Amino acid sequence: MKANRKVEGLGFRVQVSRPGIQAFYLKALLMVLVVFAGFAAYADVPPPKNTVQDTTLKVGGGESIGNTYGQPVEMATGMRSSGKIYVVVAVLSMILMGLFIYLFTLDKKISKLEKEK
Amino acid sequence: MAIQHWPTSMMKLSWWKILSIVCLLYAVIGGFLLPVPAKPIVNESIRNLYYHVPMWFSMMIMFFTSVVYAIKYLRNGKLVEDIYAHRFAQTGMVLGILGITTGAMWATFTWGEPWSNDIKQILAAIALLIYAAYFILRGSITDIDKRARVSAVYNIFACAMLFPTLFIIPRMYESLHPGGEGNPAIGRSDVDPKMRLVFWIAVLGWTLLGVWISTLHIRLQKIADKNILNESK
Repeated sequence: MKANRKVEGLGFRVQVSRPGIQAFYLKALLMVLVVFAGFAAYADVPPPKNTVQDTTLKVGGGESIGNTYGQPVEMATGMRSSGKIYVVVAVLSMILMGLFIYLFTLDKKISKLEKEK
Repeated sequence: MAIQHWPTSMMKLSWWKILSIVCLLYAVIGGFLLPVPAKPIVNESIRNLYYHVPMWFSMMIMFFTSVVYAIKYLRNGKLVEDIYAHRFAQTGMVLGILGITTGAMWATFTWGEPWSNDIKQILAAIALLIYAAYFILRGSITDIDKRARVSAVYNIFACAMLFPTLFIIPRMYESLHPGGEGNPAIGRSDVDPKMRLVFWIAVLGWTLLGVWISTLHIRLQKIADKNILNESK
Protein backbone atom coordinates (compact mmCIF):
# COMPACT_ATOMS: atom_id res chain seq x y z
CA MET A 1 0.00 0.00 0.00
CA LYS A 2 1.27 3.42 -0.92
CA ALA A 3 1.95 5.84 1.87
CA ASN A 4 -0.05 9.00 2.17
CA ARG A 5 1.74 11.97 0.72
CA LYS A 6 1.58 15.66 1.23
CA VAL A 7 0.80 17.60 -1.93
CA GLU A 8 3.41 20.27 -1.52
CA GLY A 9 3.00 23.96 -1.85
CA LEU A 10 -0.77 24.14 -1.70
CA GLY A 11 -0.62 25.03 1.95
CA PHE A 12 -2.84 22.22 3.14
CA ARG A 13 -2.46 18.50 3.56
CA VAL A 14 -4.38 16.25 1.23
CA GLN A 15 -4.74 12.56 1.95
CA VAL A 16 -4.10 10.76 -1.29
CA SER A 17 -3.90 7.13 -2.16
CA ARG A 18 -2.64 7.63 -5.71
CA PRO A 19 -0.44 10.70 -5.48
CA GLY A 20 0.14 11.29 -9.20
CA ILE A 21 -3.50 11.26 -10.19
CA GLN A 22 -4.63 13.33 -7.22
CA ALA A 23 -1.97 15.95 -7.82
CA PHE A 24 -3.04 16.11 -11.45
CA TYR A 25 -6.64 16.80 -10.47
CA LEU A 26 -5.59 19.44 -7.97
CA LYS A 27 -3.55 21.22 -10.59
CA ALA A 28 -6.32 20.94 -13.14
CA LEU A 29 -8.81 22.33 -10.62
CA LEU A 30 -6.47 25.22 -9.85
CA MET A 31 -6.16 26.00 -13.55
CA VAL A 32 -9.93 25.98 -14.08
CA LEU A 33 -10.41 28.21 -11.03
CA VAL A 34 -7.85 30.72 -12.23
CA VAL A 35 -9.22 30.81 -15.76
CA PHE A 36 -12.86 31.21 -14.83
CA ALA A 37 -12.46 33.34 -11.72
CA GLY A 38 -12.03 36.29 -14.06
CA PHE A 39 -15.58 36.15 -15.33
CA ALA A 40 -16.90 37.07 -11.88
CA ALA A 41 -15.52 40.54 -12.46
CA TYR A 42 -17.89 41.06 -15.40
CA ALA A 43 -20.98 39.80 -13.64
CA ASP A 44 -22.53 43.24 -13.18
CA VAL A 45 -20.68 45.35 -15.71
CA PRO A 46 -22.75 46.50 -18.70
CA PRO A 47 -21.19 46.13 -22.15
CA PRO A 48 -18.89 49.04 -22.99
CA LYS A 49 -20.31 51.97 -24.90
CA ASN A 50 -18.03 53.66 -27.34
CA THR A 51 -18.35 57.05 -25.74
CA VAL A 52 -16.03 58.95 -23.50
CA GLN A 53 -16.75 59.16 -19.81
CA ASP A 54 -13.44 60.74 -18.90
CA THR A 55 -13.57 64.47 -19.55
CA THR A 56 -10.48 65.48 -17.62
CA LEU A 57 -7.81 64.90 -20.24
CA LYS A 58 -4.52 66.47 -19.45
CA VAL A 59 -1.29 66.95 -21.31
CA GLY A 60 2.14 67.62 -19.84
CA GLY A 61 1.54 71.04 -18.29
CA GLY A 62 -1.84 70.09 -16.94
CA GLU A 63 -3.93 72.14 -19.40
CA SER A 64 -7.00 70.45 -20.72
CA ILE A 65 -6.92 69.46 -24.37
CA GLY A 66 -10.62 69.92 -24.74
CA ASN A 67 -13.85 68.36 -23.69
CA THR A 68 -14.32 65.29 -25.77
CA TYR A 69 -17.49 64.21 -24.04
CA GLY A 70 -19.83 62.39 -26.35
CA GLN A 71 -17.31 61.93 -29.12
CA PRO A 72 -17.09 58.30 -30.22
CA VAL A 73 -13.75 56.71 -29.40
CA GLU A 74 -12.24 54.64 -32.12
CA MET A 75 -11.70 51.06 -31.00
CA ALA A 76 -10.62 48.03 -33.01
CA THR A 77 -14.19 46.83 -33.42
CA GLY A 78 -13.59 45.84 -37.04
CA MET A 79 -10.91 43.40 -36.02
CA ARG A 80 -13.27 41.94 -33.45
CA SER A 81 -16.31 41.55 -35.70
CA SER A 82 -14.29 40.01 -38.53
CA GLY A 83 -12.87 37.49 -36.05
CA LYS A 84 -9.30 38.34 -37.01
CA ILE A 85 -8.55 39.11 -33.36
CA TYR A 86 -8.65 35.36 -32.74
CA VAL A 87 -5.77 34.94 -35.17
CA VAL A 88 -3.70 37.35 -33.09
CA VAL A 89 -4.65 35.59 -29.86
CA ALA A 90 -3.83 32.19 -31.38
CA VAL A 91 -0.42 33.37 -32.60
CA LEU A 92 0.46 34.92 -29.26
CA SER A 93 -0.69 31.86 -27.31
CA MET A 94 1.39 29.68 -29.61
CA ILE A 95 4.49 31.82 -29.04
CA LEU A 96 3.90 31.69 -25.29
CA MET A 97 3.44 27.92 -25.36
CA GLY A 98 6.65 27.56 -27.36
CA LEU A 99 8.46 29.67 -24.76
CA PHE A 100 7.05 27.55 -21.94
CA ILE A 101 8.03 24.28 -23.59
CA TYR A 102 11.51 25.68 -24.11
CA LEU A 103 11.77 26.68 -20.45
CA PHE A 104 10.39 23.31 -19.47
CA THR A 105 13.05 21.39 -21.43
CA LEU A 106 15.74 23.62 -19.94
CA ASP A 107 14.32 22.85 -16.51
CA LYS A 108 14.50 19.12 -17.26
CA LYS A 109 18.07 19.34 -18.49
CA ILE A 110 19.21 21.23 -15.42
CA SER A 111 17.44 18.71 -13.17
CA LYS A 112 19.39 15.96 -14.94
CA LEU A 113 22.67 17.81 -14.42
CA GLU A 114 21.84 18.27 -10.75
CA LYS A 115 21.31 14.53 -10.35
CA GLU A 116 24.65 13.73 -11.99
CA LYS A 117 26.84 15.44 -9.40
CA MET B 1 12.99 11.95 -23.81
CA ALA B 2 11.48 14.95 -22.16
CA ILE B 3 9.77 16.14 -25.31
CA GLN B 4 7.93 12.92 -26.19
CA HIS B 5 6.10 12.88 -22.90
CA TRP B 6 5.67 16.57 -22.43
CA PRO B 7 1.92 16.71 -21.86
CA THR B 8 2.14 14.28 -18.96
CA SER B 9 5.58 15.14 -17.69
CA MET B 10 4.66 18.82 -17.79
CA MET B 11 2.22 18.04 -15.01
CA LYS B 12 5.21 17.17 -12.87
CA LEU B 13 6.23 20.82 -12.91
CA SER B 14 5.92 22.66 -9.62
CA TRP B 15 2.45 24.08 -9.11
CA TRP B 16 3.69 27.66 -9.29
CA LYS B 17 5.30 27.10 -12.68
CA ILE B 18 2.00 25.75 -13.99
CA LEU B 19 0.23 28.69 -12.37
CA SER B 20 2.58 31.02 -14.23
CA ILE B 21 1.76 29.34 -17.56
CA VAL B 22 -1.99 29.51 -16.88
CA CYS B 23 -1.83 33.15 -15.75
CA LEU B 24 0.13 34.25 -18.81
CA LEU B 25 -2.14 32.41 -21.22
CA TYR B 26 -5.09 34.01 -19.42
CA ALA B 27 -3.42 37.41 -19.70
CA VAL B 28 -3.11 37.00 -23.48
CA ILE B 29 -6.51 35.43 -24.16
CA GLY B 30 -8.46 37.48 -21.62
CA GLY B 31 -6.34 40.53 -22.32
CA PHE B 32 -7.36 40.61 -25.97
CA LEU B 33 -10.90 39.31 -25.82
CA LEU B 34 -12.43 40.70 -22.61
CA PRO B 35 -14.05 44.15 -22.76
CA VAL B 36 -12.11 47.31 -21.95
CA PRO B 37 -13.34 50.88 -21.50
CA ALA B 38 -13.23 53.12 -24.57
CA LYS B 39 -10.89 55.99 -23.77
CA PRO B 40 -9.52 58.70 -26.04
CA ILE B 41 -5.79 58.87 -26.88
CA VAL B 42 -5.13 55.28 -25.87
CA ASN B 43 -8.11 53.76 -27.73
CA GLU B 44 -7.64 50.00 -28.12
CA SER B 45 -4.01 50.25 -27.01
CA ILE B 46 -5.33 50.48 -23.44
CA ARG B 47 -4.79 46.71 -23.48
CA ASN B 48 -1.08 47.39 -23.25
CA LEU B 49 -1.71 47.90 -19.54
CA TYR B 50 -1.82 44.10 -19.30
CA TYR B 51 1.65 43.72 -20.79
CA HIS B 52 3.65 46.91 -20.22
CA VAL B 53 2.87 47.59 -16.55
CA PRO B 54 3.39 43.99 -15.30
CA MET B 55 6.96 44.25 -16.63
CA TRP B 56 7.64 47.01 -14.09
CA PHE B 57 5.82 45.28 -11.27
CA SER B 58 7.69 42.03 -11.75
CA MET B 59 10.96 43.94 -12.21
CA MET B 60 10.48 45.59 -8.81
CA ILE B 61 9.73 42.22 -7.20
CA MET B 62 12.88 40.72 -8.78
CA PHE B 63 15.01 43.64 -7.53
CA PHE B 64 13.58 43.43 -4.02
CA THR B 65 14.18 39.68 -3.94
CA SER B 66 17.73 40.35 -5.11
CA VAL B 67 18.43 42.81 -2.29
CA VAL B 68 17.08 40.34 0.28
CA TYR B 69 19.69 37.82 -0.85
CA ALA B 70 22.37 40.53 -0.93
CA ILE B 71 21.65 41.31 2.73
CA LYS B 72 21.62 37.59 3.52
CA TYR B 73 25.06 37.30 1.90
CA LEU B 74 26.42 40.15 3.99
CA ARG B 75 25.04 38.49 7.12
CA ASN B 76 26.24 34.91 6.61
CA GLY B 77 28.89 35.19 3.89
CA LYS B 78 27.64 32.19 1.92
CA LEU B 79 28.49 32.52 -1.77
CA VAL B 80 25.25 30.83 -2.78
CA GLU B 81 23.34 33.92 -1.60
CA ASP B 82 25.44 35.99 -3.99
CA ILE B 83 24.36 33.75 -6.87
CA TYR B 84 20.71 34.31 -5.95
CA ALA B 85 21.14 38.08 -5.65
CA HIS B 86 22.96 38.29 -9.00
CA ARG B 87 20.49 36.16 -10.95
CA PHE B 88 17.37 37.81 -9.58
CA ALA B 89 18.82 41.23 -10.42
CA GLN B 90 19.60 39.93 -13.91
CA THR B 91 16.02 38.83 -14.55
CA GLY B 92 14.80 42.12 -13.11
CA MET B 93 17.03 43.97 -15.55
CA VAL B 94 15.62 42.02 -18.51
CA LEU B 95 12.08 42.81 -17.38
CA GLY B 96 13.00 46.47 -16.89
CA ILE B 97 14.48 46.75 -20.39
CA LEU B 98 11.33 45.13 -21.77
CA GLY B 99 9.28 47.63 -19.74
CA ILE B 100 11.11 50.66 -21.06
CA THR B 101 11.07 49.49 -24.70
CA THR B 102 7.39 48.51 -24.63
CA GLY B 103 6.74 51.89 -22.99
CA ALA B 104 8.53 53.67 -25.81
CA MET B 105 6.54 51.72 -28.38
CA TRP B 106 3.27 52.55 -26.66
CA ALA B 107 4.26 56.21 -26.30
CA THR B 108 4.97 56.49 -30.04
CA PHE B 109 1.30 55.90 -30.74
CA THR B 110 -0.24 57.73 -27.80
CA TRP B 111 2.06 60.64 -26.94
CA GLY B 112 3.41 61.02 -30.49
CA GLU B 113 7.06 60.15 -29.88
CA PRO B 114 8.93 57.28 -28.25
CA TRP B 115 10.71 59.50 -25.73
CA SER B 116 9.02 62.65 -24.45
CA ASN B 117 11.37 63.24 -21.49
CA ASP B 118 8.48 62.43 -19.21
CA ILE B 119 9.52 62.36 -15.55
CA LYS B 120 8.73 58.67 -15.25
CA GLN B 121 10.60 57.79 -18.42
CA ILE B 122 13.73 59.62 -17.30
CA LEU B 123 13.71 58.22 -13.77
CA ALA B 124 12.97 54.67 -14.91
CA ALA B 125 15.95 54.97 -17.24
CA ILE B 126 18.09 56.23 -14.35
CA ALA B 127 16.97 53.31 -12.16
CA LEU B 128 17.93 50.87 -14.92
CA LEU B 129 21.29 52.57 -15.42
CA ILE B 130 22.01 52.25 -11.70
CA TYR B 131 21.35 48.52 -12.00
CA ALA B 132 23.42 48.35 -15.19
CA ALA B 133 26.32 49.65 -13.12
CA TYR B 134 25.75 46.74 -10.73
CA PHE B 135 26.59 44.25 -13.49
CA ILE B 136 29.55 46.29 -14.69
CA LEU B 137 30.85 46.43 -11.11
CA ARG B 138 30.46 42.68 -10.72
CA GLY B 139 32.18 42.02 -14.01
CA SER B 140 35.17 44.17 -13.09
CA ILE B 141 36.11 42.28 -9.91
CA THR B 142 37.83 38.94 -10.35
CA ASP B 143 38.20 37.97 -6.69
CA ILE B 144 35.09 35.94 -5.88
CA ASP B 145 34.61 37.00 -2.27
CA LYS B 146 35.37 40.63 -2.95
CA ARG B 147 33.01 40.61 -5.92
CA ALA B 148 30.23 39.15 -3.81
CA ARG B 149 30.75 41.62 -0.98
CA VAL B 150 31.11 44.77 -3.09
CA SER B 151 28.18 43.89 -5.31
CA ALA B 152 25.98 43.06 -2.30
CA VAL B 153 26.68 46.51 -0.84
CA TYR B 154 26.06 48.16 -4.20
CA ASN B 155 22.86 46.14 -4.58
CA ILE B 156 21.51 47.73 -1.40
CA PHE B 157 22.35 51.17 -2.76
CA ALA B 158 20.71 50.36 -6.12
CA CYS B 159 17.60 49.08 -4.39
CA ALA B 160 17.47 52.15 -2.16
CA MET B 161 17.63 54.30 -5.30
CA LEU B 162 14.47 52.62 -6.58
CA PHE B 163 12.48 54.51 -3.95
CA PRO B 164 13.26 58.06 -5.11
CA THR B 165 13.43 57.16 -8.81
CA LEU B 166 10.32 55.04 -9.12
CA PHE B 167 8.16 55.90 -6.13
CA ILE B 168 8.85 59.39 -4.74
CA ILE B 169 10.01 61.88 -7.39
CA PRO B 170 7.47 60.79 -10.07
CA ARG B 171 4.67 61.66 -7.64
CA MET B 172 6.00 65.21 -7.22
CA TYR B 173 5.78 66.25 -10.87
CA GLU B 174 3.18 66.28 -13.61
CA SER B 175 3.57 63.29 -15.84
CA LEU B 176 2.14 62.06 -19.10
CA HIS B 177 1.62 58.76 -17.32
CA PRO B 178 -1.77 58.31 -15.73
CA GLY B 179 -2.20 57.73 -12.01
CA GLY B 180 0.28 60.34 -10.83
CA GLU B 181 -2.02 61.53 -8.05
CA GLY B 182 -1.95 58.27 -6.15
CA ASN B 183 -0.37 54.87 -6.50
CA PRO B 184 -0.19 54.19 -10.25
CA ALA B 185 -2.14 51.10 -11.31
CA ILE B 186 -2.84 50.15 -7.69
CA GLY B 187 -5.09 53.08 -6.84
CA ARG B 188 -8.81 52.42 -6.94
CA SER B 189 -9.64 55.02 -9.56
CA ASP B 190 -6.75 54.39 -11.95
CA VAL B 191 -7.58 51.07 -13.46
CA ASP B 192 -11.11 50.33 -14.56
CA PRO B 193 -12.59 47.50 -12.45
CA LYS B 194 -13.10 45.54 -15.68
CA MET B 195 -9.37 45.55 -16.30
CA ARG B 196 -8.10 45.06 -12.78
CA LEU B 197 -8.43 41.28 -12.65
CA VAL B 198 -6.62 40.50 -15.91
CA PHE B 199 -3.98 43.03 -14.89
CA TRP B 200 -3.24 41.38 -11.54
CA ILE B 201 -3.22 37.91 -13.06
CA ALA B 202 -0.72 39.20 -15.62
CA VAL B 203 1.45 40.62 -12.81
CA LEU B 204 1.36 37.29 -10.99
CA GLY B 205 2.13 35.37 -14.19
CA TRP B 206 5.11 37.51 -15.16
CA THR B 207 6.47 37.51 -11.63
CA LEU B 208 6.32 33.73 -11.42
CA LEU B 209 7.90 33.44 -14.88
CA GLY B 210 10.67 35.75 -13.70
CA VAL B 211 11.23 33.55 -10.66
CA TRP B 212 11.24 30.46 -12.88
CA ILE B 213 13.88 31.90 -15.23
CA SER B 214 15.95 33.14 -12.28
CA THR B 215 15.91 29.75 -10.58
CA LEU B 216 17.05 28.08 -13.82
CA HIS B 217 20.03 30.45 -13.91
CA ILE B 218 20.69 29.92 -10.21
CA ARG B 219 20.61 26.12 -10.48
CA LEU B 220 22.95 26.18 -13.46
CA GLN B 221 25.33 28.54 -11.69
CA LYS B 222 25.29 26.31 -8.61
CA ILE B 223 26.34 23.34 -10.75
CA ALA B 224 29.07 25.37 -12.45
CA ASP B 225 30.41 26.69 -9.12
CA LYS B 226 29.92 23.56 -7.06
CA ASN B 227 33.61 23.30 -6.15
CA ILE B 228 33.74 26.88 -4.89
CA LEU B 229 30.46 26.50 -3.06
CA ASN B 230 31.63 23.34 -1.28
CA GLU B 231 34.80 25.09 -0.14
CA SER B 232 32.97 28.08 1.30
CA LYS B 233 30.66 25.94 3.44
